[in-house]
Amino acid sequence: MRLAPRLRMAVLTVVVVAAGVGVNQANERLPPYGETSVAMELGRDAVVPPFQILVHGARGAEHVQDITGEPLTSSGVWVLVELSYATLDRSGTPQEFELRDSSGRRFRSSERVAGANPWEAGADIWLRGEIVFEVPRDALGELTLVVWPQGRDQGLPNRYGQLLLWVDPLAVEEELAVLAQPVLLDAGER
Amino acid sequence: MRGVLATLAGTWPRRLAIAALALLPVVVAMVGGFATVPPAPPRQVPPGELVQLGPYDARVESFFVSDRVRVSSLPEGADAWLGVVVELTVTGTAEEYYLPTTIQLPPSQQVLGSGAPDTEILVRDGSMLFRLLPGLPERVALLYAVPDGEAVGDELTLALHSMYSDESFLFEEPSWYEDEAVGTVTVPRDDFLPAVLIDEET
Repeated sequence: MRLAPRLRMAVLTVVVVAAGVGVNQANERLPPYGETSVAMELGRDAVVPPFQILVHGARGAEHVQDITGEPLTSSGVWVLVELSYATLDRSGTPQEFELRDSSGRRFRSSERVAGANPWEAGADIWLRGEIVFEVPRDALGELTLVVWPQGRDQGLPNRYGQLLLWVDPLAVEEELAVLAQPVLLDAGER
Repeated sequence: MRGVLATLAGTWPRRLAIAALALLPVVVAMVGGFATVPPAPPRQVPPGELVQLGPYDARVESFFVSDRVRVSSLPEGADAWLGVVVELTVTGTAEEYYLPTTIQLPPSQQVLGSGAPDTEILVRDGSMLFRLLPGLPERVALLYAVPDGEAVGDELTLALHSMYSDESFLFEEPSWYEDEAVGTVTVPRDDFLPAVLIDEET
């Protein structure tokens, strides 16, 4: 079947305009970077690209011991979060961990404890260890752990994971808490 | 023109009213209405009292002079550290790095360097101050290197300045900027230091 040249022109115009409208609509409705937030669950693998993370739990402690053996005190309390993680492809270290309390105060993982920095992991090579935070006593209770694997000071919406934690204000450990050093896990272990 | 003048100043009561209006500034000047208000004397804050300085609340407690604290980091030409002990509590929701311009030594006090503290340490254990956490009071010693420790008196009057938050043009995020003087605090000298601050070698 041969269309008359004018009719063919009209059909093509409609097709081109419709395609343009479609692309515009898709652009408007789809977020440009995909989902940025990942809801994590205690004790379950979560994928926060480029990492896979599993948080085991958190405890409060009056004093912590760093790798030099020195006990560190705080005018608040220490919160130790135990977690395992691996990457999805190349090896790397998560950039930033943060705790938020119920009144919105934000605490980044402490730089005061020697040897408590996030450790490097590889693709499907899981390591388990502890991250330490220093918080005021009245921040205990419901805390949100936020993980920014690639940091967040880049002007782009970076992926991050969020997890609700409970640290009992009445069960803060009196004795010196020894920080668990990162341990390489066997396949399938968390 | 003549019509307007006639209406305004046509009768004696009107002339008197206009004359009174013209004399008003003279009267105000005579009773001192144009004199500048003398600036309010700076508020005297007692040592240890809580003052709001923008990002944090501060209690300036005392100061010490010591050549047995952080001996190895004393700069060349310095005789001792002058340490101002202050308790700082961040009032916002985000942590803050120490902002050194809020508590200022008197100009008469000689220090080495720019006039900002060389180092800030925690009184609790002598470690370096990295940052202040929201809601967590921290006793901090602001260390200034002084050329002559003997010359420091028994009292020190520090100026307290507030800070205000504004969007930084450069970094496109809020930063703190120095604001007006809040007052002064005269702190006593207290050279008794916790043992943890004293270097063992000395």
